Amino acid sequence: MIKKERKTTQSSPVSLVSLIDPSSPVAEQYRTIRTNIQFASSADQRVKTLVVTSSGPSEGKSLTSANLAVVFAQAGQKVLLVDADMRKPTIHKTFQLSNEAGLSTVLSTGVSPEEMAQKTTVENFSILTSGPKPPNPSELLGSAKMTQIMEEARNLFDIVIFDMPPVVTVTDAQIMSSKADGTLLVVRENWTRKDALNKAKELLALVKARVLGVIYNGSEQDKDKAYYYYSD
Amino acid sequence: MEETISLREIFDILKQRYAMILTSMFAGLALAAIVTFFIMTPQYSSRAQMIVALPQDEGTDENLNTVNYNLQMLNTYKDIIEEGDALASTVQDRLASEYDLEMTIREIKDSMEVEQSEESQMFSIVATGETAADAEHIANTAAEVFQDTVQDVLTNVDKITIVSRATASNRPVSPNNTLNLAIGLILGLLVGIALAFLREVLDRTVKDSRYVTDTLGLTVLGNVPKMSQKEIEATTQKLRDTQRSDDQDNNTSSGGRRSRTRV
Repeated sequence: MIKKERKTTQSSPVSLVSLIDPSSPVAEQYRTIRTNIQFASSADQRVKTLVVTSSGPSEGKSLTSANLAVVFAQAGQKVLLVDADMRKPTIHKTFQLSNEAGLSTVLSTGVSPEEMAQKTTVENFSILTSGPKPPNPSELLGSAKMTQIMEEARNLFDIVIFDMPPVVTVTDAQIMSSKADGTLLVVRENWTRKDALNKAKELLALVKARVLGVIYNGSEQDKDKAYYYYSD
Repeated sequence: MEETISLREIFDILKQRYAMILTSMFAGLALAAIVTFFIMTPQYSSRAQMIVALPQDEGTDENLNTVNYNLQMLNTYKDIIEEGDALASTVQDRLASEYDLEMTIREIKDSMEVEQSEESQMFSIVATGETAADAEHIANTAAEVFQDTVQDVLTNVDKITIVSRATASNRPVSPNNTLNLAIGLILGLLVGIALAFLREVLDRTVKDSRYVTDTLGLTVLGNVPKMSQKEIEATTQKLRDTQRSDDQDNNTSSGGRRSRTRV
């Protein structure tokens, strides 16, 4: 049991800093992002479904979506975090949940997302894991059923966050961005390639995604500033 | 590229890649050491000093003229010794017969050098060889041959004296260890710096959140500082602890959240 745990945390070192260390500068940044998203949400353009993607792999999509979900839940909102990366799912590893059933199950059966979602220790915070790997993730996400599920989730939760695969690599994030109210693009310093980022922006513009903004990850220069305020 | 680079950025690049620069520096040093100590054969050098006297003229202000003429003649001697085949072939024969030293004319000419000190009528034949004895033999033989034959070539030479004969010196003149190592070190350093900048130029990843806002025109919603591996491990460890105790709480009591007291 312990062995297994160690293995999973190694393969996905996603840190739930906002949950574990809420006073840290990192957690503070996630709260800032939450505020900025709430401000982007106006009366006629409510941001209730949020897609988190990036241009390439390992830029912090899962980290961002997990931590954002936690800070939204901490603000008293009813949050559903959906692992829509059915190719390389990680959310269930981060929260150590079972992935025997999840989004792919909801898409292929008549179960409602609320029924399938797993409760977490954080109040108001539910997670819908990816479920078993389907052979055709893009088709599933593009289906009318998916649109229907999103509508359902929108009614049941205050905010639904979708963790997506990289937008340049596969089309999944493009499909979901076109359906969602807002898209967040994760950029990681010294990692994200400029050309890939340009391509990601173009791809999202093609499907008329509403890109709310960029989460700038792994910043080195702002660290000092942050610690200036929070060091004890 | 329109991107400009500031002095501060240059320092940042150097600071960021200092490990690479240091590695390259020591690689240069190691390479120089290998070449100096294992590949290059040591060279020994030896010098024979000579003086050539020209016949005195009868004139009144002869002194200055003669001295000047002598000095100019040194260039001629230099050519005879360094370039001429006649001297070299005699030297070759004598080296072979007297010292059993087989060398080609080309090698003999390459190994010899004529040095003159400024404003002095004395000049030296400096020979380098792979052993101290070789160097000594070449220098002495060349000096003797020059003494014997130069009067056949140049008629206006009065007297040739070998001021000091060459002696074998056991200290190699080449390779110069300190110099070679210093060159290796500095070249390594320069290559390291060049590589650091090259990598910086070739690295097309996002370096600054300003790229996102200024070039792409996107809003930065949040700037999440980088977490060290240590911080990440600390938080994941903490998470594991909380989850485990929560699980136990859920199992034993009716799902209420309690403090983490159980082991």
